[in-house]
Amino acid sequence: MSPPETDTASRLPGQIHPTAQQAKRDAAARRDQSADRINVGTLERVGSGVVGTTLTLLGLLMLVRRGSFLGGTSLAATGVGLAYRGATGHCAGYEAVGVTHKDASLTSHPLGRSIEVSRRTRINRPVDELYAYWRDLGNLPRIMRHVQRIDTLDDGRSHWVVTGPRGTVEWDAQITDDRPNELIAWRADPNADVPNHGYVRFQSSEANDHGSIVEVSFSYHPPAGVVGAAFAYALGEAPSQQLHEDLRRFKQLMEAGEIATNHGQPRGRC
Amino acid sequence: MKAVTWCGKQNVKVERVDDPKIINSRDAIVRVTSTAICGSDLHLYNGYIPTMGKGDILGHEFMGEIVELGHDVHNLAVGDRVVVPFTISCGKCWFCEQTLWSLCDNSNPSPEKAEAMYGFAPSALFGYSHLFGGYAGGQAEYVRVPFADTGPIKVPDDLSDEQVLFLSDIFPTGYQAAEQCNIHKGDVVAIWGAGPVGQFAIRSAFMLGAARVIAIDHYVSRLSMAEQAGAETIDFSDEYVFDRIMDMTAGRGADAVIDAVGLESHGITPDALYDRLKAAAYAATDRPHALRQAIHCCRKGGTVSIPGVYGGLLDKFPLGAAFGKGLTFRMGQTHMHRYLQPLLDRIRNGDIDPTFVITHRFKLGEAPKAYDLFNENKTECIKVILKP
Repeated sequence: MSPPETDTASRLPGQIHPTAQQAKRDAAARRDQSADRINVGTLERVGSGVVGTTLTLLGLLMLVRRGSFLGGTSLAATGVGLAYRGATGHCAGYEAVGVTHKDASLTSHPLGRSIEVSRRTRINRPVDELYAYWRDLGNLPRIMRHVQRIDTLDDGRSHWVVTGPRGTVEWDAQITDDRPNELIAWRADPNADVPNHGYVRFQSSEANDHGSIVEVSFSYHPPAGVVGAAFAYALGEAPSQQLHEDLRRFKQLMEAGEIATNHGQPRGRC
Repeated sequence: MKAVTWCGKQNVKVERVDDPKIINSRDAIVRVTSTAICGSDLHLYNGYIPTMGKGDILGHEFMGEIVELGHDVHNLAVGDRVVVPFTISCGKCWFCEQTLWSLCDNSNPSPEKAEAMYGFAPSALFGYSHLFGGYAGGQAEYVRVPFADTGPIKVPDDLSDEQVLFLSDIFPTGYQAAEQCNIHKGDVVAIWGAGPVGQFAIRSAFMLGAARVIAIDHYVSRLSMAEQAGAETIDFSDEYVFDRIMDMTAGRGADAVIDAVGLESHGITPDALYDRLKAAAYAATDRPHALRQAIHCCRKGGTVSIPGVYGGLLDKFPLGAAFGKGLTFRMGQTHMHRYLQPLLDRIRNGDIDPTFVITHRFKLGEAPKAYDLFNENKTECIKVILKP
């Protein structure tokens, strides 16, 4: 199952909107230079940063309160080293032995780092119903927890208002491919706060008695880059988990007609 | 309203909480007229089921009167008297369509925990931890019933609450346990645990044509209740169970065995003590002594039916015996919705009067006392009903 042709094009720098300023490109180039030195995985970087900071503080405490010079300074030095490794994403040790733990899915392509997410689910309803619900974009905030509002404009254009890890972000999007009961592909304005594009595909399942298969695939450039994505992940906002939950809500809504919830029910205080 | 809340291990309270309200369009609000404490509530009471939250409202066996309906429920009316099945099912997913109601895909609002533990999440249950949906239970004056157009069954006025209340769980659960045994004429069914589910399994096995039923327990009152239904009994505290079953079946073994005990098996053999030690050290979750013995006593090619609740990992599970004897295993939460109408008909026909199992009646406000009695004194106490 290959993605539609529209999928790869937007990653090429030439496709970026012509009004994108030179300054933006310079900044991107500088990021890429330092990105070349990165050889530590994203989560490992976060871990290094947290553990390193903790060790540094512990070491200083030992130094000051217990007067343990040797123990305190060596602990603090280890901590500083780890924290630096976390902040820069560069590990001299890895470099020495020729190892890299760079996280491929988060930093896979050379200009700007995009996050790609894809997931399939099975829904016990015919494809035409599923397509029709999704095509009416105003419905989507009901299933996408982070989408506050979608205004449908003309010519397949729409305006999205989304809650991100660092506040509300908005963008305009364009439907780039629309095949009834089969596929809807979209692309956000390349100048958007969060450039993104993707598709949703609807398929009848082979046996036809196990419902339809819905596949969602999209990629986006997170506003705070790779570290923002890592923190979002650490805070339980992993994009693939989000997509999993959004698709589950879509399934519940299409099958059961409502989204199961226990919010708002009574409970005791003990 | 008043509700029974879980406040920690062996700590339940009766509290004043907000009344439930309609949240989704397929909801109903039921004014509870009768509710019961289930043996599986004791697993919660004793802290064996993870993901209970302080303040969670308990109870999954209840019935009452419809007082409010969401606008998408058309098959019920305000004032209807209903029994509510303890499993919550949407009625629309593939599993519900296959009548695998307790495996519903859509009723659990937070299935991630169960998916992490089990790969996939079974249906939600009333008042049975956040692993199973975190829905407020029915040991309360009022309860919200999701997917009310699919679950509750209307009951006729000429049957009393006590006659129909156990359609909410233990009667269908005992019945499914027996049905899973695939009973043929002349079969011997051996049942571990003569508690409420075991009692209904005994009577259901006879209804389904078993020639003989053997009940295994160590509470004399429970064994005598089993004898009243025509079962032969074994008191495991003073007899070797395997030897007795070999005697009773002339060396053939039981054609089918039912584990109506679950994860808090008692038992006095070395393996049972080992389970207790491991569980006490938090190195194991479930104590499957009864299940091991049941597998041992099952004849070659026989069936093991498990209505008893298990939650986690089993230690020293005799898979070699199960494989070597070519056993069939059937288990899981009861597919409640399959059994409501047929078993209501059985009650109406006089095939069974479920009130036999009730030994105690309390007011809802006396729930802490009722839980303590049921947990501590299983000789005297078999089934407790609470009246709001």
